[in-house]
Order: sequence, then structure tokens, then C-alpha cells
Amino acid sequence: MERREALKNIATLIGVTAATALAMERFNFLARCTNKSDKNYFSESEQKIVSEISGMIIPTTSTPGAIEAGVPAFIEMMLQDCYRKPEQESFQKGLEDVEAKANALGNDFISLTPEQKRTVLTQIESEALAQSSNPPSQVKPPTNDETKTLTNKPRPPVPSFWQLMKELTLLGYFTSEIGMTKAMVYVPVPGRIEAIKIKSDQKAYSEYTDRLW
Amino acid sequence: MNSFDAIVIGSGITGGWAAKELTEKGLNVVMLERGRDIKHVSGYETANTPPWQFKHRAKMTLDVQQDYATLVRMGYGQESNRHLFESDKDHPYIEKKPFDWLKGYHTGGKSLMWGRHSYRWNKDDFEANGREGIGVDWPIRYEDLAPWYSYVERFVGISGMKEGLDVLPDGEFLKPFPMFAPELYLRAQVKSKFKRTVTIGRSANLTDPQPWHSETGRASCQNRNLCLRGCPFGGYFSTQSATLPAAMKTKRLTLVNNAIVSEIIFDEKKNRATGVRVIDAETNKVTEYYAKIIFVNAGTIPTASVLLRSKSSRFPNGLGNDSDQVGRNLMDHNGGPLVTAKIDGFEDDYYYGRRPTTLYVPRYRNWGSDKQPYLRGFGYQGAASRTTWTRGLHEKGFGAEFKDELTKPGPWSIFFVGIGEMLPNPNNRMYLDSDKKDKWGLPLVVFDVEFGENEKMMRQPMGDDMVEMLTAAGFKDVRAMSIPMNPGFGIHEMGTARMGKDPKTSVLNQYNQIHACKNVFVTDGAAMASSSCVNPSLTYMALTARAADFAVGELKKQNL
Repeated sequence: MERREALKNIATLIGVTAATALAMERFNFLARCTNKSDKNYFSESEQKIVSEISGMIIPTTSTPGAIEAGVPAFIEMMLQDCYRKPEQESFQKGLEDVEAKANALGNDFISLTPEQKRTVLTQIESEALAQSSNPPSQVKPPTNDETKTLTNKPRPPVPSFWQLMKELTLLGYFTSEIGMTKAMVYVPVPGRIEAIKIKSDQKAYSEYTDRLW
Repeated sequence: MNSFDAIVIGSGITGGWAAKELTEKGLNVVMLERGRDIKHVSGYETANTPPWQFKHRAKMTLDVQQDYATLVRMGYGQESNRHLFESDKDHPYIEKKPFDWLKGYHTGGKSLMWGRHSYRWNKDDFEANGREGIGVDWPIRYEDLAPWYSYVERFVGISGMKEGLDVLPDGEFLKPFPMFAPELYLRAQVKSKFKRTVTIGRSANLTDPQPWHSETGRASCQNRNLCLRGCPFGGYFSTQSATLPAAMKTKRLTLVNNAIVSEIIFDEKKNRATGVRVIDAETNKVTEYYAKIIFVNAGTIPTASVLLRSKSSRFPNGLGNDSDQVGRNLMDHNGGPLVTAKIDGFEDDYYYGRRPTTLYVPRYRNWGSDKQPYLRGFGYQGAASRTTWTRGLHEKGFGAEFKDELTKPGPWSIFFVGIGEMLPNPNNRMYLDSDKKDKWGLPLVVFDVEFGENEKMMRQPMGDDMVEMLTAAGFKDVRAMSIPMNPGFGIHEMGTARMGKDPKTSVLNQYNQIHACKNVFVTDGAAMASSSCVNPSLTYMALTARAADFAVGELKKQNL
């Protein structure tokens, strides 16, 4: 995204069309990624780790969890289809880090006790939070001479493994049929709108917007 | 066989109105749409698709991010609606300066995907240009358009609340959508502390269908808030749901798809336009259509493009372009910062159903006794809601408790975005490239538009004022975040063939006729001489109905 914007910015300066700029980017991109979802993108052991962690983030409780909702395969597909190489590499490094942290506890991740697995995840989470040095959206209104366009937007840092894992698990789960209809209340055709008072143990109505949050 | 009483170029929100009005008044009309046909209901292929059936959910694949770069940077392009938008790959354009150009080439045009906020302009919106010496004075006043606002409002069906404000004149409203508890609280706070109004959006969604709505097959809004996919209930106004069935009912409308109008044919001897030349989008075959009058409703940018392409010895710079104003004075709305806040309390309050509109805060700057260093003003759109599972993306934690918490309605939060007026400036323009062409051999559009000093001056107060209001209401963690927006981001492009009194400085007269070619009418956003700060589609519709009425009267009097 950011790379394309940068290219486009240059392209704009020299007066070529948006499409040409995109073609430039496309060429560049195709050179390093096939963008075809492969069911064996992860190795078998990686698949197990991803599955295990997604199930730890959204476990089976009184309602089915991430694994029942097909989240592990969703993550594998999404990483290939919707993310670029820096994110893919960040994710890959994260998986290696999970194994390294598990090895420090004397085993591979899958063979750790549930308590040890939680220890590893908690550690990964705190490291990810410490790493994201920019506190979220500490932003002031633009000054008068700020005429920022999307093309010179500062490049956001590459998300950590934990951010990616969590984002994809939550997205995969809460927009799945199980997440929307079992974990929450799905009303495809409400038929009316009204202000209501919540009941005890009120579950959220599933919401899905056609634009990104 | 290709002769009609009237040609309507474009089937979007104003083309649909032109077709309806002209056919209902007895004319045989051909409506030329450059894109494919999308049938009402059966053509809305994703209307009933549950979210989990979209493979990538709300995200976009890398291929799409490349081919639809403009769309994606504007926040659209999800699998649920991408088929309604055009790609940069197939429809390239040139950005001398960055410009977001969103296109929907199909029956109904952007009326299928529009935001539906529908506001009347106020008296001053028509007078400010003349008084302040900005651009050109409008050749009409509020009173000229008021009955036509009423006329279109009744047919469109606009939900809203009467407020009795000069700045945002009331219209013919259906029952308003509800405001929720924290929103009602904010309304009271803002009224008492600032004497400003927070009202519910006036939206073209049927809350209370009237017989004339049911007649075209429309039903009440079902509060799905999936309008962007096309509504199988006809719950919101579009060409398909309303004007097209009304026009078809007369049996005097012919709709032709894949018909790209390359130019309007001008007959030097008769000193009038006699028809249009059309390229078939699929076969490239060229045909001509002839008519007594032509309504150009292709959309602000394509409309100006058609005029600029229509060169003759009488009009060497494009049809009606004696003033050199075609393509100039291109305006959009001036987007302010995103202001967000957290709301404590109201924990027992929730809502059933999904509201397809937001709140609206009408303009108060440079109004009444208020005086600012900049001209004109801005309004806001926004809403309060209970946060959804997406809050989990920013919260620490995982596991059973974390999951459980996310399945409950979260704390309330609120957001607002300022929408400001953009002044007309002849240097802000689109024109046709002399060299590069699209796949039909038509010259590419070049954008050379930027926000000016007045727009920039308005941005800081757009953020500051809302921060002040939300803070005064006691909301927490109030933040203003700059959203980088190119011109075009508002999808309210207008002004490329402005109305005016003087043919030397404007393209259209007070009835939207081209000054020097009276049987050609332009009634889409191109006609606008200024931009106000309210959403413009309702005004385009009122102008169209008024111009169609005038055109038919002139035909009867044999003046055209």
C-alpha cells in the first residue's frame, strides 16, 4: 500500500497515469510474490502453532471457538492473499520466535503444558506492545499549512506477529458464521430500528459493514 | 429509428430524474448508459449474501489493491460491492495533482451507492457568491428551487426531523430515524451550551412509505444498513428503485446500455444540437441518436468530458465552451478531521436494527452574528454507537474472558467528521489530455485541483469546534485526527459547467440550458456555481425536475 502510494506520487509528478503507476507497482510486486493461496503455505508444524494460538485467543467456551470457525485456514489464506512480503516475513519471524521461546522452556510449542503456552503468548504480547513505540493515534488537528494528501502519508510500521495473529483471528472468528450467529446475535433483516434497554447477559448484535472499520 | 424527442445521457441520480420527468410529460426518451445493465433486485448479486461468504471478509486482496487503487484509498472495494465500481486499470485518469475519482458505470450510476444524505440549500447558499464576489452569482434563488425541492422530496422519500432553521431549511419529511440515548443527550448539551443543533440525518431511506412509493414497488427500509449493495426492498432511493420504474411505466422510455457518448452533434446551419454519437462499449460500433432536446446527466466529470469532446467549427473548444469555463471551477467538499470520543454511562441503552444514516450538525459559522476570517462554513456528520468486537484489536488480552467480553455490547463511543464548503476557483480544473486515450480512443481526463486557502483555514476550526462540543458534553478521551483527503474524496464533485447570468463567464443559464445551444441541458453536479457545505444530490434532482418542466414547456411553445 505505502509503496504503491510512493510510486504513485512519483508517477504523478512526472505526469503518468494512475494505471501506469500501478502497472509499475504490479511488475515490482509480481517479481517477489505469487499471490496464490496455497493450502501448504505453512509447514505442518507451523499450521499446528497457528491453529493452537488462534484457539488460545478465541477458545471454545459455551460457544464454539476459533478452530471450529475455521480460523486457522482463514489466516493461512489471508496472509497470502491480502498481505505483502513485510507482513508475511513478520509473521514468519513470529512463528520462529514462538518456537524459540518454547524451546527455552524445554520443549516445542505444541508439546508445552497449557500453562507454559499461556506464558509464551503473554510474553509475546508484552514484547509486541513494548515494540509498538508509537502510542495509538496521538494526533492533533492539522495545522493550516498542512495539506497532506494520501500520497505522502507516513509509512506505518510493519505490524508485529502478535498484531497480525490477533487481527486475523478476531476478523476470522467474528465474521464467521459461528462467530456471528453463535457467539453473537445475527439478525439479517431487522425490519425496524429502535432504542432498547439491554437485558442481563445481553449479547451484541453482529454487525458487518461493507467498509473497513 | 434512432430518433426520439429527447436524449438523456447517463442513468444516474439526475439522468433517472430527467427520464422520469420527460417521459411523464409525454416525450419519447432514450436514456444512454455507458455501462452494463443492473436490474432492480435481481441485479443486486450480493444483497443477501451473509458476511462469512465473502472469502476475504472486509479486506481486499493484493490484486484488488493494485487494480482498484483509487477505490481502495477511498475505503471502498470490498467483495460485497466491488462489482459496482470501476477499476483504475480499465478506466485510467491522470492526476497532475492528486484527485480521487470514483466511478460507477452501470444502470443507476452512483445512485446505487450514494450516501443518501439529502439537504436543501439555504437562501444564502444561492446569494453568497454574488454578495462576496466569489465565482459567479447564481442565476436562481432559493425561492426558484423551493417548490422543486418539495416535489422531489415527496417522490424520493426523505426521513428527517423538522428543525425550523434558516441555515438548513426543512423539507417534506417522512418519520425520522431514532437518535439514541447518548445522541439525545449530546443534542441537549449542544443546544444549551452552544445554541447549535444536532439532528438526525435527512436520509433518502423510506421509513414510512407513501402510496406513490409503493406504486414503484418500494417497501420500507429494513434497517439492514447494506445499502451499498443495492436494496432488494427498494428501501432507499435510486434510479432502479424509483425513477426508472416510473419512467418505464409510461412506455416512452428506451434504455440503452454500453452506450458511450463520444460527442454531441452540433448542426451549424440549424444552430442547435441534433443528436449524439455513441460508441458501443463492447463492440466499438458507432451509432447516432437524434432528438429535439438533449439532457446531459453523465456526472460532473463525464458531462464536462462530453462537452469538451464535442468540437465543431462553431464550438472549437467544446460545446457551449465560449466562456472557457467547461471543466473549470471543479469543487468537492472540504473534509475536516475525524473527531472521536468515548462516552461513559448509558450502559443500559442499546439499539435493535442498523440505522442507515448518521447525525447531522448544520453549519453555524459565518451565520447570523458569527464572523470568521474565512468565508462560508461547514457541517458535521457522525454517530454514537456501542463498540463492537473490533475493540479487541486495540485491547490487551486473549482467552475465554477476553472472548466473552467481546461478544457483549461495548462502551459507547462517538465520532464526527466535518464537511466544509469549497469555493469555486477557475484554476481548479479537469481537462482532456491531448495525447493519451482510453481503450475506446477517447482522451483521458487530467485533474489539476487543490484545496485553496479558504478551505485550509476552515480545517483547524472543524476539528477544534467539535472537540470543544464533545468535551463540554463531558465525553472522554476526545481526539481529533487528521484524515489525509484528496479533492474528490467526498465524491461531491461539481461545478464543471456552471450556471450563471452572463454567457461570458458561465456555461448554463437559469434553466440549465447551454447559453449558446439552447436545446442542450446540463442538470447534474456540473451545473453548480458553488458547493454549499451540505450534500448536493437533492439539489441536482430539484434542478433536473425544474429544467425538465421548462424544457417541455419550451417544446410546446416551439421555442426549442
